[in-house]
Amino acid sequence: MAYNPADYEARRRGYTQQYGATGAMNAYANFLARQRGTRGRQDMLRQYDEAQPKVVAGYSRRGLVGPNVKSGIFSRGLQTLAKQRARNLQDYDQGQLEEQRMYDLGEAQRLEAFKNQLADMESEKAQTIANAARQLYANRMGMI
Amino acid sequence: MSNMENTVEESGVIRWDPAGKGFNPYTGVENDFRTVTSQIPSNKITRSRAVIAESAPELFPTVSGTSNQNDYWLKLAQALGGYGAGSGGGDSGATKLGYAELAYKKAKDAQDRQDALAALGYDRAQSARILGGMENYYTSGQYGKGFDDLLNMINEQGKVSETGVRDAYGRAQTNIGQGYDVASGLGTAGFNALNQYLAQNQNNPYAGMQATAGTAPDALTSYLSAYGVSDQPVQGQIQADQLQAQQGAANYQNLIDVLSGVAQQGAGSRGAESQMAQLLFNTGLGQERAGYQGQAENAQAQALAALQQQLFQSRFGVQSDRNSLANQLAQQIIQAGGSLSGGTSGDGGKQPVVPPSSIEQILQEIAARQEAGTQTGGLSGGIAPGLEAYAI
Repeated sequence: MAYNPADYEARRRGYTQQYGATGAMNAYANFLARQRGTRGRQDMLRQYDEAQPKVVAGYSRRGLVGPNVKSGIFSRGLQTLAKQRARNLQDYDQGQLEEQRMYDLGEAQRLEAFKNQLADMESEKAQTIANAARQLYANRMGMI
Repeated sequence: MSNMENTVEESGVIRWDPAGKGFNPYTGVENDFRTVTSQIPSNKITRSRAVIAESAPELFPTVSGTSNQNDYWLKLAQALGGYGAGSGGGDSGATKLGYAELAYKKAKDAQDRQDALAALGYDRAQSARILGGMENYYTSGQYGKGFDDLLNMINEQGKVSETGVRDAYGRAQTNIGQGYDVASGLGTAGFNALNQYLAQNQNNPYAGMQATAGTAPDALTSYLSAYGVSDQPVQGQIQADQLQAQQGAANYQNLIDVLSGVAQQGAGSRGAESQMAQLLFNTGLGQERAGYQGQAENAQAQALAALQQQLFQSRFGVQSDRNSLANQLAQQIIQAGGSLSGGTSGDGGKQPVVPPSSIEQILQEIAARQEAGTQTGGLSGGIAPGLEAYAI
């Protein structure tokens, strides 16, 4: 097993290129996902902002709320709206967060695999050098 | 024309003139042997006699001096002269001639024996010199000098080879140590880089995460107050929802904390894994180093063992050759009658084994036996081989 440094450098470039290209693609996908998440959250907030006056107006047409009027139905209805908004926002944010965690975890695992590839290659190279050294030694001894 | 006195040359034959003529039945010409100053007609016998006379003149006084009473030539001449003069007293001329010839043959045989003895003495002296040389070569240990040189060369080569093996082992150990240091440094650098990276890049992305419950929505308090309506029911509901949201956030926080704890455990496990891998690396590398060191030690031991074996084999071979040569020398010395202890026979070839006095004794003994008409075999005191035919 002859030792050829060029082979290992070629493999290193290949591994790095593959890791970089995949990482860039994943990062772009992650960027797009986060962008979509931001837009979705903004849509959700806008919808709630637009819905809140309509909800108050509905209770007001039914005379459940107004000047010097404050019914329990209106209070519960408004609290329910606030709770629904908070739950949806939290669920949405949690979803976005978990998606980001998955991306981060995937990237960490990919980085780990990439480093393992390089470390394996380095180990193989060291072993190849050791074998080449022993082979050279044997060849030299064979010439005595 | 002859250059000798009292001689004439007729048809190439030298003869005495006027008195003392004799007829030589072997040569077929007349010769005067009373005052022989001329050379005997050349043939094989006379040539041999001349050679012998030159080498041992004391044995042939008649050749150089005519006044000696033992001059066989003179006797022969006198006998022939008597024959030619027709003297009435004593033996006839033919008988005298036969005696003279017999005396000549006896003298020749004696000379041949003397030559044989001289040759024998020379051979024995030469053998003694060779034997003495061999004894000296054996007892002085000179024959082992070449082997000692070989052993020294083997020992020196062994030292050089052993040094080479140990140097190679040292270099191997150095390389093993250096290779280990380099490999350990490289591996440690890799793990240090990993540890540094892990320390600087703590993998806990959940540490900074905080779960929040979010903001509570407003209760429209002002709006309700304007109509005189109490907001208490709305506040109660908001508080209840907020409480629920906070509980959810707490749950989320718990989840983050669990994930963060898991991530931290993962980072700690990874750090422990790195330390364990580094420990395993260092341990394995150390084991490999120990293995290589063991291999080097084994290789060194094997090389040294092989070297020792080769050295032993070489030494054994040299010692074996040395022993073989020593045995061969000993056998040759023993067969030649020498001594292996040294100094008992021979003196390095300077003196013959049989002294000249002994030769003289042997010569006298041979002559005595010849005179007695006995024949004995062997060289010691007997007639030399090849001389038996001349014994009377």
